[in-house]
Amino acid sequence: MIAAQVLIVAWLLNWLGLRSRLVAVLLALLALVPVHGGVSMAMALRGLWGDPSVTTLQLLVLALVGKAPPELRDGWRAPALITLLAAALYASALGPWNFDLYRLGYQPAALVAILGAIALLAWWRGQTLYLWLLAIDLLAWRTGWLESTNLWDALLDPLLAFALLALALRNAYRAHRSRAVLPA
Amino acid sequence: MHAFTPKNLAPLIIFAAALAWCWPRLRPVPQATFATISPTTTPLGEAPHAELLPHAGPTAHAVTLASRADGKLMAAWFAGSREGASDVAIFSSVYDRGAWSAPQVIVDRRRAQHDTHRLIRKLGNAVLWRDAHNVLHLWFVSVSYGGWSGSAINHMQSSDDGRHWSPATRIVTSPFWNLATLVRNPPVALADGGVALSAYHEFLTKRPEWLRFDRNLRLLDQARIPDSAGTLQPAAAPLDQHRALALLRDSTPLHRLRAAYSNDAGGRWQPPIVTSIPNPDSAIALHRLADGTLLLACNPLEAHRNTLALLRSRDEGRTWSAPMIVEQGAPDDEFSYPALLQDSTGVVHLAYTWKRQTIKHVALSPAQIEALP
Repeated sequence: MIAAQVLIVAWLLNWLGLRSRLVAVLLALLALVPVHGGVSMAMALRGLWGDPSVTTLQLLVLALVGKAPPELRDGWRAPALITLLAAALYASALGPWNFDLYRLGYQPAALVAILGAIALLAWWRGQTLYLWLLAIDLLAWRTGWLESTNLWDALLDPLLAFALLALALRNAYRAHRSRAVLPA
Repeated sequence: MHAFTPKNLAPLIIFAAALAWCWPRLRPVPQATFATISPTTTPLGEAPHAELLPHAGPTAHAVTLASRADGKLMAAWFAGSREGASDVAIFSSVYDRGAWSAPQVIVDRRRAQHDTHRLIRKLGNAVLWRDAHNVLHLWFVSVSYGGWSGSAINHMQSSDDGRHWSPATRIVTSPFWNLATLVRNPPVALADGGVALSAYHEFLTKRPEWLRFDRNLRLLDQARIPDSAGTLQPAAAPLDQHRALALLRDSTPLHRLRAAYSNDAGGRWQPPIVTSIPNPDSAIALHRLADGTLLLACNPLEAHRNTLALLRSRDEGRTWSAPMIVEQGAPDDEFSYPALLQDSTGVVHLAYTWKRQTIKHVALSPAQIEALP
């Protein structure tokens, strides 16, 4: 999963203004080259934030091929909802409370039931991309190839949460501004 | 509503197929039970006697003990120029015919970095343990960035009594960049071939964690001890196949060890009770002896780690004997971070940090242990 860091670097390069996504990916491959004491940039990043979730990997690939889901790229409700869910997860996992949402991810029948409901709703609304995303998350978790055995780590990670928070704030501001300039 | 066309049904079918494939992993795992408790099978050394282990570096700390399949006692600890330095490595030494072997490196920062494919800046606490199949396991703490609150746990194992070790693998125990899970005390074997490892969390708040692994060391579950904020480094001992006691180091101003009980092999814990045993925010060791009594090694003071003592409980941790002082020094001396093991002859092996310079081993005869009320 060290290669997952390459995708993150490529996306960052693209986001920082490198127009050509292909060039961004090729440049990002340099992150695998050891530079100091046998440590590459990818290893340094993996030490910092670990492996991204499978959801993040899929969204990075979609973003790099120009197919990011419009509800996340341009909307604010879906990013805000996922950010709130992530905030609840991290607060319960890191806080002094007795209840731990993260524990639900080990034998995740309840969590998967909720995902099933979300998938049905997305299908009903014609947003079939979310079914693909969730199905691939589940399949990747079930293979056991991931470093974590907890389903939450296939679904979410803090990088995704921070990115979606930024998108939610940006898109909410844009929506507010466009409403403000509309003629009465 | 979405139309029922083959194109639109495909993602629904794929999702349903993924769900069906995941089904075996969705159901709750059976409640754990502890493996039958048995002492180590061979005598590990004569008693009483005591000696310092050979120096592995300018400073040494946090020893852990295990019996090897060949009947020899093995110790592991971290040593280097100072705690948290990049040159700190996990060393091991073997006790054979009354002498400890020259320390050997099990894992250092570079090897851990290579094995886990990530930057690692320092290594910390290690836990050594032999399972029922004579495989030695080593869990150890590593940090990539920041202090100990940035820790994560890694695992290695050896099938040849510690001569060769498998590559280190990372254990993920937290959803937030896997921050801040550490280990200190040995695990408990489960009847299904799995293992329960008492760990603790340090980022934002300190609290114990109970990690349950299956026989393939896949993490199955993670339980908390309720209302335990401010405590850490749980030292657990099974009381029978279902019940367990965990004693908790106290980092609060109360300076008293806490005791928590579980009736379902760690699946759920009762809130801890405050014991009468003082604790200067220092590590402890707890071991169930062959006769069913409990032996505790700790610094029985509210401040300072200059006194190390043994206490015994004959009523499953509800009351404890007066401390039997093992070593006492000046206020700035440190005799801390104990580890305990009993062999088949009843000899109890105690090892601990000696003035942060090296590790000390004390073997106590059954008569000495029996003298504890």
